[in-house]
Amino acid sequence: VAPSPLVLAPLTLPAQVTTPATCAALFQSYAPFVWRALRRLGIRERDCEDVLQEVFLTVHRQLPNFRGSSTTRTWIYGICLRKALDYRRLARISREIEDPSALDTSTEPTQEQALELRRTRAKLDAVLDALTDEQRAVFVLFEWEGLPMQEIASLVGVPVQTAYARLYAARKHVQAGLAGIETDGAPR
Amino acid sequence: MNDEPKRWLDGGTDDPKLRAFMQIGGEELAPPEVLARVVLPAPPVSAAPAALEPHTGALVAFKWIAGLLLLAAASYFFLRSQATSHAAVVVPKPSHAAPAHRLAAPSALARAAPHEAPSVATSTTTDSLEPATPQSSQRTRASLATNSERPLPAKLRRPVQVEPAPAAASAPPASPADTVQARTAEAAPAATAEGSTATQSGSVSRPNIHASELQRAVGTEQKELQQLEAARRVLATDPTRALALMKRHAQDYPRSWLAEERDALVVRTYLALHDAAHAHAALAQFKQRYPESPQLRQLEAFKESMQASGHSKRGLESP
Repeated sequence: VAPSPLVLAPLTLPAQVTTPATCAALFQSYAPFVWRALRRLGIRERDCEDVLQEVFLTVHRQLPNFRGSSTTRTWIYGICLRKALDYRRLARISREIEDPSALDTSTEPTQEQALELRRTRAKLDAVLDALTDEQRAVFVLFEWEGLPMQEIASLVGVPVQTAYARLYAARKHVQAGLAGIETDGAPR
Repeated sequence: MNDEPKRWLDGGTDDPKLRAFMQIGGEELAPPEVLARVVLPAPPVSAAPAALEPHTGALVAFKWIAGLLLLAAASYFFLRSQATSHAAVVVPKPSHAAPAHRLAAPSALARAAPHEAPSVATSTTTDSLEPATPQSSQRTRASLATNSERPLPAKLRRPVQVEPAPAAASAPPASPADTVQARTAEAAPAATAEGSTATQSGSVSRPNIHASELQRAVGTEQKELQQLEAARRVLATDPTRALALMKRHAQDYPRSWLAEERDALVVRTYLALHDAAHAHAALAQFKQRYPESPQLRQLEAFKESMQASGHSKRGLESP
């Protein structure tokens, strides 16, 4: 089975590359996927741009210290993971509960498909919010970002077996959540 | 368990709704307008120094080492120049007496030579040291006391200082003493010149050798001069004794440098003794030996005056 085009191919940069052109190239190559990862890791759309900026600011600042012990993609997703965790630990984020039904419905009929897409993504976010941070990180990085389980375990700082267990647990919760959405119309 | 399961997007699930759900979630990429708004900062300033930190540390260490080396080199050359200048002042101290001695020695030898007047020699012995500074003069005197080469002028002057008294007593304008001094000046220069040359060459042993030779030669000449002067002094009072002294002088010094003066005195003595035969023979011998002698005309004039005055004893004391 051919890999999904949505999965970013591993990119390894030579160490000690700190030129602005390199940073720009990294941004052009990884920014779309970092955005997706941030969104799936629980960053709300309205805050995702700021967190994306913070991620690449960190990339820009830490790139001189990047020794190439891992692939650049893994390194950047590790930054995304930490930024997402920091974001979700903010008090104001934890207190806010987004209601998918509160989305703006005053769109044009030609935009009904886009509205349905947004609602589906809102349901997906609601299902993922039900996961723990540990399960969510493993699930997002494995299912959407295509990172090897070995690298995911290294990023989250757990053994590979633990990472697998978290993946299976996350999958079970996601399947149950999507089934509940289809039956109840709302994520469980 | 280590075999990674297939991802749901890659066929890891048979549920089409679940796969579509994952597909929708995976398609949510960053909008282009969002990417356009993101502005990357300029390269951090701390990045370059961090990368260059090892070089910077090495550069600083190199600068410190270079500075220390320059400082050490400057100190070395400064101390060396100080030591050199100090040595230039101190080291010549012992050798400074030698140049002063070498400069003073020829003049001292020349002035203290026997052919000069003793008074002048005595006075100029100290004058020869005057051009030097008082300190150098003291050092020169000290070196004179210790240097075996220095007593030479004093020894040379000693016999000369004895002579002037009889010479001054008679004080003849062309006395044998004057002639003797002239001969001494001719004989002494050889040794004096050699001594001065040896002194100027800086040799220490050679001047001593020439000094002894000069001392011995001058001593012999002084004895000849004293013996002949004794005969000349008694010529007016005791011509017979004077003649005996001159005969002894002729025996002791047959090739004396005073032979001309001695033979002239012999002629005068025979005339004073009214011994015409011996006087004539002595004069003829004198003419043969010294045809160019300046005393020849004086002796002939004296002989004629003696014959005209009837062998008077007047004028015998003067040539």
